[in-house]
Amino acid sequence: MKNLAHLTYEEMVRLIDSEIDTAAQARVETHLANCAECLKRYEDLAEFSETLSHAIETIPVAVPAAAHQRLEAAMEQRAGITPMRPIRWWQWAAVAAGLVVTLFLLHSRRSSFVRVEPAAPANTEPAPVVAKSNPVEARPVSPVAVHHKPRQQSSNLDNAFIRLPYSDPSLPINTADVIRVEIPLSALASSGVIRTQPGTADALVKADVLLGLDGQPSAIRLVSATMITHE
Amino acid sequence: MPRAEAMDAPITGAETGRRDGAAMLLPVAQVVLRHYEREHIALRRFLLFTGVTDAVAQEIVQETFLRLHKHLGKNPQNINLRAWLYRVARNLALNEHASSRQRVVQSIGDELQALHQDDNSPEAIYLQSERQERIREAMARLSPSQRECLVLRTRGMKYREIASALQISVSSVGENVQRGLEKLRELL
Repeated sequence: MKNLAHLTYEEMVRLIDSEIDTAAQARVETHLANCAECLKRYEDLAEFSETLSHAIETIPVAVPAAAHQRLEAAMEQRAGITPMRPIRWWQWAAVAAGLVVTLFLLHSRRSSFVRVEPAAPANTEPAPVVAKSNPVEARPVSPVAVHHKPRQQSSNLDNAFIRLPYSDPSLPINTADVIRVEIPLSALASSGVIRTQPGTADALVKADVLLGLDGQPSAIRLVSATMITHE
Repeated sequence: MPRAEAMDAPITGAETGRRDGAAMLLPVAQVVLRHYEREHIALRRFLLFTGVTDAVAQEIVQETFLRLHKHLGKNPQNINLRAWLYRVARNLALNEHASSRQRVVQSIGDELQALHQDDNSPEAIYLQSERQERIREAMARLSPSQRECLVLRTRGMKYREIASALQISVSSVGENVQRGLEKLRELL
């Protein structure tokens, strides 16, 4: 008479958690209906489980008032910034430059095996191009002008990262982190980078965004001179 | 903030995000916020049981939801979001707190104690009851897996979901819950 065997601890826990298969559940419930001893054990355990859950769920957690807004702002900052591919070409360029230096030095000191130390700094500090670019103040760029003269205009733009107004100027620019994005003109306009013309706010442009050490966008440079229009 | 609407809007991937890009807050972000509202406090509590400080737990919660935002942008479909959230948060906590079990145990006691003192709500005062304190102390004496399983079980998560969150087998979850409960009863 299997029904007569007292309930195991496992069966009771699984019944409480509704993690018991149908056949076992039938046996357990039949047994509980007929065995006062097991019913008592079961009820004690269920009560204990309930007390425990309550204790855990009522642990006070102080939520800063701005927590929600903070998350929202962090996401908004990345909104419109749809990463297409991480740009690593400076890194590759730096490595290539490092290799050239290394080869050159090896070549010039061919007489013995020399440790080529000057090559290392060249590797670790890539692309001073960007870091040294003067902190240009937010400079209005007319998207319409850009639209009309793609080539010449873009060559100017290509070298100029425009510091975003909310970035912390005291932070060094982290040249390793550049992401290419498609960004709505309205976002650029709201950051004061450009002025939008009526009807162009929804258009997207490609841009490289330079991330500061705090991971926040610190500067931006327009890549595509033409606006990407909606399909 | 255009947040109230489209809470249940289906996520249709990055394309949706790009089209609505001009609105700044993407549907994906709205989905993230919805999950945040539902889960962030429980996630914080769970993290405290992994032994990180409350300040770190707050940062991890924020980071976890930012990662969810990124994740959903790439893979909008077919994941158990809740298990995913706990898994990511737990891994962040483990990275943060790669230390001995002993330290974890101490830290849990200290953190919960600190939280407790910070809060003057009626709920917190109620928690001062001796029994509650003893439950917390006892929880700190369980194995990390037992503790984590019991905390997630409190959220009404099924064993399968817990297993996915903790990256252990479903049968291990069952064992951890049983042993954990058994040990707690002995201690209390």
